[in-house]
Amino acid sequence: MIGIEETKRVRINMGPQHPATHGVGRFILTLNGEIIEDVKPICGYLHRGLEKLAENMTYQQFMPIVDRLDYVASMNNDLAYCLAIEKLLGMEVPERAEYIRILIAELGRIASHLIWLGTMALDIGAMTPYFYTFRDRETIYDMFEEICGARLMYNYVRMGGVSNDITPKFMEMLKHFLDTFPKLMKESDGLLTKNRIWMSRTKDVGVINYDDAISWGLSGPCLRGSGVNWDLRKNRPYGIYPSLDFDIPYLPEGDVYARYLVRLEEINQSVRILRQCVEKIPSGGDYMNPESPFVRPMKKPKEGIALKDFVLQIRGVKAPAGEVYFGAENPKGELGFYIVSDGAGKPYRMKIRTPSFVHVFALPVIVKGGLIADIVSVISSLDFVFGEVDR
Amino acid sequence: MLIYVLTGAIKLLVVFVLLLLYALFMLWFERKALGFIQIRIGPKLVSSGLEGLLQPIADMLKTLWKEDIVPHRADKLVFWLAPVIGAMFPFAAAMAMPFGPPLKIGGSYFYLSVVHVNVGILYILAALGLTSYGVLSAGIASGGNKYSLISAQREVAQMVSYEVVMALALLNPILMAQSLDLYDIVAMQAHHLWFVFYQPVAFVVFLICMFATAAIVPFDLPEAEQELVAGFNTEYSAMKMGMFPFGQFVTILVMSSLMVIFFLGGWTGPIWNGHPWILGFIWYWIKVFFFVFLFIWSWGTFPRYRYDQLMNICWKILLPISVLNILWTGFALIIHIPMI
Repeated sequence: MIGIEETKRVRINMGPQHPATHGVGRFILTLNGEIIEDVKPICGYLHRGLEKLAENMTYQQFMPIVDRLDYVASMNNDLAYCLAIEKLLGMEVPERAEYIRILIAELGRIASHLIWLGTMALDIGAMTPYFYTFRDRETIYDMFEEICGARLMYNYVRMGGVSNDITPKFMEMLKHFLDTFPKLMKESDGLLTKNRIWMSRTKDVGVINYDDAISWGLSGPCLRGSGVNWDLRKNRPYGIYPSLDFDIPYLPEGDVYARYLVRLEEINQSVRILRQCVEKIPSGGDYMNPESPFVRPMKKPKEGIALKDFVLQIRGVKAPAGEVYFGAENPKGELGFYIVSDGAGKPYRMKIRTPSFVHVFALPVIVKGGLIADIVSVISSLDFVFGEVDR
Repeated sequence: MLIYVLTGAIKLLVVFVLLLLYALFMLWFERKALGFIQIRIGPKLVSSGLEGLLQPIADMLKTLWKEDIVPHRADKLVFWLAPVIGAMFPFAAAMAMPFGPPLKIGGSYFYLSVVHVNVGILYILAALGLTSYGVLSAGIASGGNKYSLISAQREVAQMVSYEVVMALALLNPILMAQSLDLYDIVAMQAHHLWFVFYQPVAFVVFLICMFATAAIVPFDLPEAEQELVAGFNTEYSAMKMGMFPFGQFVTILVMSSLMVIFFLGGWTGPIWNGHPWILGFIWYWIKVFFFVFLFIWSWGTFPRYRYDQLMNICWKILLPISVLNILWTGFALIIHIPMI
């Protein structure tokens, strides 16, 4: 019998088919009324065994699969993977390629944040910003299509450079984008940032404090939303980031609104980086290190070279034995590749440290005591992608 | 006597058909207006010459042909009854709603509403209040679907919160007009300023409650697609699901017309007041459709409140304000502050 003293807990299965879990996320909620007492995240619905696959593939064969990790920021995944392999092989990258890499990485960051903004607004009930952000993301994808032909899975960054040079048309598109985008961004910004309803839905919701954020291993904007000034682009710089002038936004509140503001500011900072790159990019030069063992012969090769290339493709590039870890600042957080090499053309073991995986399992701490409506806004503010969670 | 029954029956039929047409029109208008707000085109391909105006008919035909699924564990009778309740009571409320200024034929008035009762507002509020039972029973009868159940729970919380405040907001114009008859309230405003100028606070309070009644964003909590997967709608399919938006659209119309009648002078206009009759008619529908559009506008603009926040707003902010407002109105009436 249910008396006044005894209340029954309701268990709700949220997902894997649920509009707000961003893919195939599944959460088992224990509710007291609408108050969440416990959340149990369950992952594995998109498991493809990427880490095991990597052990059976040469380094260059695994390249396209990296795209499938965080499929809304594939360019950044490519970059992180290539940087890890370059660190392992000790490879140099020409200057022009470095600039191209930063260009596409920051564009990828903007595209990823735009998807996050649209879906977060949609999750909190505002339908319209979704369309505005997808319009702007579309122009970014058009640019990516212009440089590599693909719109989602690019496979553009290569070990030692990028697969092909950027075109003058791309630069034109980019300049036009940099002129128009900040104004277009104001549309969504104006609809949400100072909106009372938006603020009451996001402020003091899903709070995670400084210490918890660090001990739960959050990274990226989620960590900076809790007041930690930590960005791998500044703290463990890679590429040409040290030569660029940009700020790392961070806010001490640790709630959904702080994470929202941090990401919005990151978009602005990315635009700033892009502007500098457009000015500084060398007009000529290699886009690929000619010494790189991954460079394929362009013309019809002589017999000896063809055989060499064939062997390279089958056996892979022999990497020196050892271990290497490289973490790059992806839109979602720190994407790290930990590669153990035994001297063969394939990794002995590859561990992929994905930010989304960490964020999903910090969810119970963040959302406890909130309402069902809160879990939706917290999920969208943590911004995870299940391609990354399950690997 | 027979003539009353006959005219009543004809009016009923005409109004019913008009409301159905209006609901179909709204299905199109909502999507077009949202499309305009959201930089997209909206329905276009069905009847391309008419900007997709016939899309709702195609949609309705499709909905009718869909398989009607009833969950195994559902309470069959209530499950069947819920969409009927959800659609029927808004229609019932619309029966007392004036569709235009009264026509003066000979010495007597011909009222453009199916029923003209001198407690019209009470009837409309009662019928709209009963609409919630549709959502409530849909949520409970959905065979133990917890999302639907939470949706029903939210609907109750929401209804209890806004109904009181809405009635209190409407009480101010009622006190000033000393009548519960919608036509009297408009007649009062024809001789003075519109009530919105005397009762700005009640106007704002009613505006907020209007959105809550129709369960439109920012207050579409029972439906909350991203949280509760459309809540009470989850287990419904085919035309049963189609009935709920019909009811919602008619609620929107009734609430808009109440707003216009109580605060914006009904069919009186700023100029050319009342004569000829057709002008009053046009004034009325311009105002009503402005508010109908306002619903869709808000839909495309605002995020959604959380349901405890809605209750906080209603009980902690709007209710004290409304009570104070009524006290002031009563005081002003007792000491006979002259109306302009």
